[in-house]
Amino acid sequence: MLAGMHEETAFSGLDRVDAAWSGHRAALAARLTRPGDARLSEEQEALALGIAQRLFAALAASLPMASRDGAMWERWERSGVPSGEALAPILLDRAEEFRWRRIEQAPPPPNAAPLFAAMTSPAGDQPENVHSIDIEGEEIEGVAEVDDSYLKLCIADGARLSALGQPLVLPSELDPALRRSMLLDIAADDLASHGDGSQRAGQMALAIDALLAEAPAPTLDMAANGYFAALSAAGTVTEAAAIAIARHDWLAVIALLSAAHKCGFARMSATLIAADDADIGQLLAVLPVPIGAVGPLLDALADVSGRPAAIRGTPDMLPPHGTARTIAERAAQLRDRTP
Amino acid sequence: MMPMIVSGRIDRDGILTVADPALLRLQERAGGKLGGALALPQLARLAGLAIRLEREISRAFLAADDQNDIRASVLITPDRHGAAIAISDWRVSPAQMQPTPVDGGQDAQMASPPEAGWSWACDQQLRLVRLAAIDGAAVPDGWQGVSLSQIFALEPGSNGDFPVLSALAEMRSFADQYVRPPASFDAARARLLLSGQMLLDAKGGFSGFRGWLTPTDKNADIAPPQGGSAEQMIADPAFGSLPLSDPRFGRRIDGALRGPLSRIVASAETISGQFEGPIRADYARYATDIAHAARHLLGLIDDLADLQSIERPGFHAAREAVDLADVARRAVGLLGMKAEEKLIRIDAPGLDDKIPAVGEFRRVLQILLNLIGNAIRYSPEGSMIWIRCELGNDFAAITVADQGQGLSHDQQQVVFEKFERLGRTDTGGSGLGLYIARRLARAMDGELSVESALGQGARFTLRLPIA
Repeated sequence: MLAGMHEETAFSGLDRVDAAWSGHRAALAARLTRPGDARLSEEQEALALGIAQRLFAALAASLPMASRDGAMWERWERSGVPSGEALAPILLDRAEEFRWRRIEQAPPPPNAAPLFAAMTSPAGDQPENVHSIDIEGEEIEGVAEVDDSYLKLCIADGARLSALGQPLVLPSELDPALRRSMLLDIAADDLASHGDGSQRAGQMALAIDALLAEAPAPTLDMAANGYFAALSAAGTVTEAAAIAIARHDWLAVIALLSAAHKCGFARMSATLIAADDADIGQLLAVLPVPIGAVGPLLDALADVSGRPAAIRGTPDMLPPHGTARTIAERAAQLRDRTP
Repeated sequence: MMPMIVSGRIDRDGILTVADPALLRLQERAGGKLGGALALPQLARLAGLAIRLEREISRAFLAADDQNDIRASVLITPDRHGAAIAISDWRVSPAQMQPTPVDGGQDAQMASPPEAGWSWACDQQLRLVRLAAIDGAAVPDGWQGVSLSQIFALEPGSNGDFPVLSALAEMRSFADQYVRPPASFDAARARLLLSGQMLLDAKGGFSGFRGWLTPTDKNADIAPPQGGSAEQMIADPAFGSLPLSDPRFGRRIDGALRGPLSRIVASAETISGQFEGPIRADYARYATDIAHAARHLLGLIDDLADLQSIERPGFHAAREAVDLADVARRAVGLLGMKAEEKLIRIDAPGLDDKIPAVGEFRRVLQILLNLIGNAIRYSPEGSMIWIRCELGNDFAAITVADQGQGLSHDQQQVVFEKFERLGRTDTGGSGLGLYIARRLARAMDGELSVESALGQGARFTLRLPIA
């Protein structure tokens, strides 16, 4: 689980949609802990492993390591990544979110005339309830706060990409216990590989304690909550969500939904990717976005390859979240063992 | 040669019934004809308003065809058959917004990351949302959300334009913006090359740039701008790294932004006026918003150009005889419709009033337009604005008083400062108007002052030497 998430949601099907990912998560956990056990697509695996590698590198950079030559990761890739089980859902969620949103990042066509394209697009592709914020007079109260909070959201999102545009999970986003465990694994590996040294072990321990004692850095979840709060104060959540969908601004859409459902950005992103049309309608009802405006979101999600299918059924029939995940994971393991 | 006045007539249904050749040519280029609806949106809207309000309207107006931008002044006089149109000060300039195709080679260059440097991304207001080092180089603190031009000193290109601003104006990518980094960069003494790929959202709206920032030869000299040193280029306190003090600044901004903005206004007016058939009401509203925002930006450009003029050493205003009461009446005439839209009444000096003073006519008019415009903007609907004249022993004064919220003592201390908007976040102004107005008043050996109290309205008084 990422740090700072509050697993409370008004959407009764979140667990059910969440469970759809269990097979993929189990597969990635298996790949991380038992290299060679490849059941994900090459793209999914490469993305998830890349995110893991960069996460460990970022953590290692904060420790007084004896070596920073990348040999640690090479060893772990061969022998298994520590904390792989706990990391798998985090890596997979980020990788899948990146795959989804990358579709929108293609370069614009040549000769694009954006302003006029926006105004001359066919009448049918604009959500009915989209209204511009009146830029005159009193009606713009709160616009500065909304603008500021959206800017912070973009900055927080930008921090989740490397300089080369690769997806990252930031150390600050990790649950403290998982972060500590990973730091200890890195320190132990470094000591084991480069000879024992009690003095350096002490330095490592001090560095880890200091890192964990640092005040938590602002996260994407905080920025998402801030954006939602600013829009709520301005009374423009619905309009902003509809406009974000029309513009394919998935960052804003996921942020608003995650804040509205209080479930964390990463989990909401994974939920949207796995959800079917009915689930998405239910998810958006909290904003509430008119059903006629949802089309672009459904179309965009349909373009994501390899989406897991949500398990249909009435919420009452489903067991609690943790149990559902366990059963689904074990079922996936059993299926994999079947010749 | 263009005649002094170009005339025409429309009837009460907006049909162009009479037109001088110049007006008819423009109407035809816009897809209209004699006997058809007036196809020049801004002109048609003004004419419609004049007929509806049954009052004379005098305004600047903009039009554009496929080749030219046209700026002119128009006087529309309604009567019971429609309205007479008289256009003067007709100026034609070549259209400046030529969409530039995104060059394939340029995109390819952006797509491949450099071996060293930084990647960056900004939003549509050129505020940085990402700045990350490729090779572990330093990243300056505090870049988040800061304008690109405040972090980096932008250098003009070989043609004197700033490539990033040109790209912004023309909505295209760029690959040739040289910048000088802040001291906190490792490469503090180097020039960096900034490239940016335009980002569009799914509706075709500009949503920012992303690109690379790559070091160039560290020993390369930074070419100083003509007539100034490299040091002078950076760190203007009001505009970050843009060289405001460079006399070419205003011309570059004018060239890069005014033309495209004028065309945006004209096109948005065309759409909101629904001259090519009805469109959905929300689309028309968007177009109106776009036109409003673009007009605001044009106003800001005017303010910046004024700012550059008045802050130049040796700036002085002409000394000529002006009648403050007459200037006030003209200002009220120009802003009367705006006041009427808010049901505000303006008690202007009478035709018999004369207040002789010494100053520069157009600067006095500019000050009064600012004062009355502010009074209208910040006064409640249905309120009253008074304009009073006073003649002293050695001064002539004119006061604009309103029934707005008024200013506290603290606000009065700062209201004439540059970019001071008293906490307002609306798009009504740039925060430069009163600063410029006071500087102009002082350049004419006069003074601009304010008296006010919260809830009691405000009284701005312009004093000038008596004639």
